[in-house]
Amino acid sequence: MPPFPFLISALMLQLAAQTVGGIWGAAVGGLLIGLGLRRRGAFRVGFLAAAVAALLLLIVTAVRGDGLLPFASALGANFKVPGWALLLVSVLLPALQSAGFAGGLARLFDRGRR
Amino acid sequence: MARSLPLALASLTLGVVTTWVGVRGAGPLPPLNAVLSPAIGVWTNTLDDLPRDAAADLPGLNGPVDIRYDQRSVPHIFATADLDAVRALGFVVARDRLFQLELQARAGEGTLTELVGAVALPADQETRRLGLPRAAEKRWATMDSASKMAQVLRAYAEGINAYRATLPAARYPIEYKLLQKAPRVWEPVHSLYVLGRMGYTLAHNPVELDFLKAKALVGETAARAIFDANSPVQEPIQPAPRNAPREALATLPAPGLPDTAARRFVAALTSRGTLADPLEWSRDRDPNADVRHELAQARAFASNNWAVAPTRTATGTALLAGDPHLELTLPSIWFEVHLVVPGSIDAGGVTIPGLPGIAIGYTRAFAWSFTNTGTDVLDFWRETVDNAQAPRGYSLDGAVVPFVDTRVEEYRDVKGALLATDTVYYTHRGPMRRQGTEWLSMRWTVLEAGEELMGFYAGMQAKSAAAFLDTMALYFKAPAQNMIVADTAGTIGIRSTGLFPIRADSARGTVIRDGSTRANDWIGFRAIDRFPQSIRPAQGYPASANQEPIDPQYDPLYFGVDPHYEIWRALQINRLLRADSAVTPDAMRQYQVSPGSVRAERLVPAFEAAARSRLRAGDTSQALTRAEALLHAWDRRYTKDNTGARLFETAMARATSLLWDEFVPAGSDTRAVTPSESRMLQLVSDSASLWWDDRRTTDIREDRDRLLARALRDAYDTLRVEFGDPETTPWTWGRTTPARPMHLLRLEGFSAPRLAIDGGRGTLNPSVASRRANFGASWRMVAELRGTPRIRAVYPGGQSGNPASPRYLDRLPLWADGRLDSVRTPHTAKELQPSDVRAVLTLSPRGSR
Repeated sequence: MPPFPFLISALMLQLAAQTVGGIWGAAVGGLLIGLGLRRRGAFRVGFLAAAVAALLLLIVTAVRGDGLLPFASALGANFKVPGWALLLVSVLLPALQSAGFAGGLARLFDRGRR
Repeated sequence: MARSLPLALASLTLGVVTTWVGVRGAGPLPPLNAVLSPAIGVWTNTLDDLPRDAAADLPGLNGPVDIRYDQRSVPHIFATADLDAVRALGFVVARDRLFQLELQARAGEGTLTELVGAVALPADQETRRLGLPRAAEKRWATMDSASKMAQVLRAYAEGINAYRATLPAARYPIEYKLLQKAPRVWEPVHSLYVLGRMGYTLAHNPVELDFLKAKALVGETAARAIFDANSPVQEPIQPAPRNAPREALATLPAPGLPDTAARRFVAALTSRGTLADPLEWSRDRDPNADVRHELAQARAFASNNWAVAPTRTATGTALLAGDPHLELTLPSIWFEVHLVVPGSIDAGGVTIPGLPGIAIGYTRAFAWSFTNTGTDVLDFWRETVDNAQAPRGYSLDGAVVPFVDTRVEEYRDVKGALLATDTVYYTHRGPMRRQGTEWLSMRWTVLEAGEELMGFYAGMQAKSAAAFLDTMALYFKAPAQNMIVADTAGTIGIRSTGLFPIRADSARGTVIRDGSTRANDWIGFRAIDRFPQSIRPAQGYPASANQEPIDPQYDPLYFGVDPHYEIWRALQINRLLRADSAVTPDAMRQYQVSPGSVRAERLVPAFEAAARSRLRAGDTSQALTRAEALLHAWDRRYTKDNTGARLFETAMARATSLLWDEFVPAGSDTRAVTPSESRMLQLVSDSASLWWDDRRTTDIREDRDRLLARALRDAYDTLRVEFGDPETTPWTWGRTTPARPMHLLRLEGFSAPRLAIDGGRGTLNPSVASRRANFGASWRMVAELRGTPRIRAVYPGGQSGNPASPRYLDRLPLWADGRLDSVRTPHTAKELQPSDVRAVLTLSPRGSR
């Protein structure tokens, strides 16, 4: 596993990327994590950083906003899925984007192969 | 390396695929990032609902505008110039209702497909074929750009666009995120689209198509008695010199042989040549017969309003009540505001998002409300064109004259791809369409209107009730409205205002006329002094509930015969007001939600008598016995806990279906037309009328009792399957027939919960839902016109259009309980108590902050 400072940096990167990067944020964040780490474990780091970042953003929204959970239920009712499932996807999707790019690029440019 | 590359590629593929799905969507999956991203998706719409203090630039302002939102989320706009107040109005409406603004404008423009996709194509086609967007665009193009109206429309657009400009994508309304669209720029003409759409909602009443179909099925005499005759019960808006309704329940002529000419004409008007298909330009023309039938049943575009003179109130002041019945949506069609410009405007009430003015409300001096007149303001002509394949002109007075206009309408989807095209021709009367093998043109007052917004603007600056009515009469053309007023000087009055066509030869508007001669054109409109009206009526109150405005005994000139407007509510409110010589504001509130039903009082006894008669004659049906007992035990009031109203409603629907079987064309199982319920009332006193016979049963000739008893028994059986045994699970009204305002896009999760309410069809509060829609009291207001008017009001829903906002549904419980909220009416910003201020918004001219 990469050192703790790198994990924190990855998390910060994902927070910034998802906040300002719009629909591309998590993917770009993952890409940068992969290029920055360039070794095994990048997939997990990318996943974890993006998932925690997404979760933190949701928690902040829930704390600052009005009734995130009831709203998730209402939103889910439009698609006949439970609200928690939508919240789960909200966390998993950026995590998978980030993990995919981070893991893929890290392996392609793995430092250990040089 | 050999091991690493496949893993790298697999990992990258995962990243690409999830990003692709997130950004572009896949199959039924929407672009999930845009919707669910924690940073920019719909979750952020739960943030910053009405910030406590906010400021924004609004280009074009002459000075700062101070806006205080009270605890009911009503913005009180304090401006120093009239047009600044209008700009601020645009801003605050956009702030809470941006998506609704665009949806309503597109509905009137016929471009919904560009927002929501091909599903809206039929609606867009109807809008454009009726010529609504053309009329709005023409009106805007010919408007003097320096006129007050143009200034108001531009100022309103500036306000909306200034708000839009402040909005990052992360804060777009949820609906835009779900649809993957961005709010478009608001143009001044968009307000005219919204106005046209209101005209369509309230004044699209092609009664001649119903009459024609009826003639084709039961012959001229019977059809005329049902579809071209005034209501047999008269309790008019312009009070008649008597103290009771006038009833003329004449025997209806029996159904006759089909009128051959009408039959041929109807067949020629439909693409398949059958009477079963809906006609173009007819109401509720959904291709699905079940949907059509249900919409017709649920339709309750109606309203109540009444005013009481000081001599008949306990307070010694004039009182006014108004509750427009429209489709109940979330967000509501209404948005509550208060505008103050010292020395010029001090008016509050409700505005329709998209229209720069207060539609129903109050000033310091008076209050007003509207109901729909339901008058016939749309006629058809049968045209002859020079070339059926590519027409360039039409026959008129012996010559072929070119069309006034020809428009090729293009319908596009959300990505701009062409979905369909249409060619709409315009004669000197209005739009013309090919229907089957015929060509029909139409003239419709809604297409000739456009100054109504000026009426709202000037009306709220009037100083008295009478001045308001006179101002509105100058500008308000369509949809014609019964405008009621009361002022602090004690004056009350009502006037049906709009364009009321006068036909050549004093003709009625119930037949399609020959278009080849100008002699068949409209020859003018009623003058204001011939509008139905009553100022300071001797009886001490005027009341309207969409009934015929004048008893034809006193003014036989044709107004209209729309069977959709029933007499029941008018009878109920007149009865309540006649019996009360010391009316209080709270009594007015109670009347608005009164569960009493004249309809049930008049028709339930017929069902009961029919059931008893059949049981005496040897009918051993358990269902009939139980149904009769249930109905007998019912007090005929639509309280939420009653257990008889559901049975009566289902029995009425079944009786209507059995009774009017003559209007079901061969080869179809759906009625082509449905008469007014007052025709059933006429038949109830004629037990052996041929109308009672069900033609589909050949071995027996039904009479009234047999048919009504069968309807009651069938209703009992149906409800037993749907709601269980009434002895163990009573069919309480609130459980079986709740109200439910639906989200504008019919999204289940964003619609209101089901609500048990007092009231139902035919009562003063007809606010119950069907599977398709929920019509009902969209705004209730009671105004007490004392020194400073005291206003109480409510509407279902909330000020915010954001389903994630706590202000989305906050008024719903109050509305469902039939209660009203106190409306704040501060003269100045400082007059609003600090504890009553929920939020402050300051708008400034650009760069002055």
